[in-house]
Amino acid sequence: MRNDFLRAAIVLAASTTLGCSGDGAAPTDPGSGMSYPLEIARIIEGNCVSCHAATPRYGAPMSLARWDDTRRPAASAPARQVWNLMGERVHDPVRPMPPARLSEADLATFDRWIAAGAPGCTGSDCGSMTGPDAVESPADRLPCAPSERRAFLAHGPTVADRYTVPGAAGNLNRCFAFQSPFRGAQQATAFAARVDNARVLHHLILFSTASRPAAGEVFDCDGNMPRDARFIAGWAPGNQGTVLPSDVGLELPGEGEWFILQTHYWNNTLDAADDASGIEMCTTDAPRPHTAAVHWLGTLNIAIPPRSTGYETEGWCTPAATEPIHVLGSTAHMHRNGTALRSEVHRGGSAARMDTLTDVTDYSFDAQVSRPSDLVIMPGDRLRTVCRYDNVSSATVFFGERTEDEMCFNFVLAWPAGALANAAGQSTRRCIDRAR
Amino acid sequence: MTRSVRWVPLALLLGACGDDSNAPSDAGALTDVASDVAAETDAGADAAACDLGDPPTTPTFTGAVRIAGGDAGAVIPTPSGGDPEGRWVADGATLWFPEVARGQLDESGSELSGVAWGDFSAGRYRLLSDLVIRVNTVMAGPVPRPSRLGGRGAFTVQGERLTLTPECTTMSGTLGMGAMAGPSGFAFSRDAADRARLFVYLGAAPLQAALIFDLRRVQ
Repeated sequence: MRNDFLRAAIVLAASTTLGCSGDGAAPTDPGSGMSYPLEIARIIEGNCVSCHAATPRYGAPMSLARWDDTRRPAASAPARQVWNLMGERVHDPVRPMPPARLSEADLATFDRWIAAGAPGCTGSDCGSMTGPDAVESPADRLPCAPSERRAFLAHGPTVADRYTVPGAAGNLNRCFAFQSPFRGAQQATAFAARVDNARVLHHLILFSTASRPAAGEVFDCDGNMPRDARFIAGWAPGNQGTVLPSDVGLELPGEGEWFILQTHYWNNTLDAADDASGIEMCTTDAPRPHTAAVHWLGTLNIAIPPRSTGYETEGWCTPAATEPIHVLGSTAHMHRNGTALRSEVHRGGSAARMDTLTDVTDYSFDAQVSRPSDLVIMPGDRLRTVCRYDNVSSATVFFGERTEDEMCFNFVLAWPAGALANAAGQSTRRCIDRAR
Repeated sequence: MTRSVRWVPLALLLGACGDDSNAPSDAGALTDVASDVAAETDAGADAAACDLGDPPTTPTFTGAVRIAGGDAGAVIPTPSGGDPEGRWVADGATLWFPEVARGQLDESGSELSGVAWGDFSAGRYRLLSDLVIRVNTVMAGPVPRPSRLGGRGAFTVQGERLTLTPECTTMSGTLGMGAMAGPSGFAFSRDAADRARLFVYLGAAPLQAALIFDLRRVQ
């Protein structure tokens, strides 16, 4: 079961390879008759078309499934063709594409192709991309029958309706509140996303809160999230869901409490889109021996100077735990300026005896993958989380929610629930010490 | 400058740190920030149209964050009034929180820095403050916030009270983790020929905070 977990993403995990073999692009374009050279087809299929599919997904602005797609005007710079920007984005220090970056060998191959003008191919050595165009929902693979699942899905005026994302909505954060159907004893044993309309879905987060949101049951998330929101689960492209170890269940809100599904849409077309994506979970009425929760490490002490490289900020966590804390995994979360995040465990509070909980040296906002762990944090240990940033802009960047603001959080799934929190963060599962 | 200007919403920090539910939540805390940002955007439009003219040479200063009460019985200074006429630059400032904030914020680890100046002449004023305020919260550790506020218009003085009637204002910055709060009042102390203090009150008692600028007359 642990192996299942090791394969699973926890929150906001993303993979650039999801669906790479699942794109239905034609090998040649009927317009030009050209296709990608063999090696370029391999690179694009393996790194790009999971989002830049024939029908683009997860907010991708254009298809790269066919060579002709690279000759179209770029969405962000219509005076240039897509291939020009492809050549730049693979080297972009802040927003690289693919988010996990190409290998050195592939990058060299790709650069040579771009330098040659990104030519098409008509001979026998041309590449092809095959496979179904369907988008699988990770929820399809949950280890419980559909009738046994609980689903928290985007919806319209009634839960039977799909939510309509307006045309040209751009970024849209829409929240859907659900009264908890649980009565306090249940735990989630597995959870995963139901991806309905991949064209507009960007990411999902499921929170819990103590009472009915003041903003109602369907509302604009921005400015309306309750402050006691606890992170339950999340999804971003590539996340395959989480199956917890057989002796661990995830805490859930109980009677009188609520779930909030936060959906982030990106619709850059004029066409409206209906969607009923969300989070589904398997639960148990017979609590498992250990109850886990997602805990927060990091800092809000962020003020990244303009035009700075390698700027670091740190946050400390002094758990109030009196018993061992068993870590199952962690997910780093920063925004576009983030380049690296490290969480250290200082045994007994001493830097001389240090273990590493998380060490992300090539962070990408577009590929927030989870890292499994079996680390045990002991009473008396302190944790230090260091975030590193590059700020190429001419303004200081502070903490904030907007993409252009920054964050420094490490979401840690661990049991017992609440143990990885300091004295001030017991109820919110947070461990962010004040400065001393 | 009383209705449309939302000064450093540090009253928010009183609220934001007033109970256990106010630590940042990713999207949650974030929402508070987002609401500030919305206001900021509005102010941005003001900024383009609010020309404050040439600023004086202003030194960058650092200042303290204090909390009333405590073992030393610290009290928030009170203004004494006086004529604000002149051109002033700030060489210091102190942000005072009421005693109710004790236990929610730490003076240690909190500070502010930036520049500020003011010009009061013949019933007309120009003001600009550009600060970063870093408050060390118990719930979420240190939280630095930018705050830029300016404006021009007419002013009157009654005792220590300073009433500003703005013609335009400028404001930018993600200002905090909570509902925006504007200044609830202004006051002035003319302490010497070339020294004065400008009091900016935030929120209402018992949660009222005061941002007090130490001013040096330059003209």
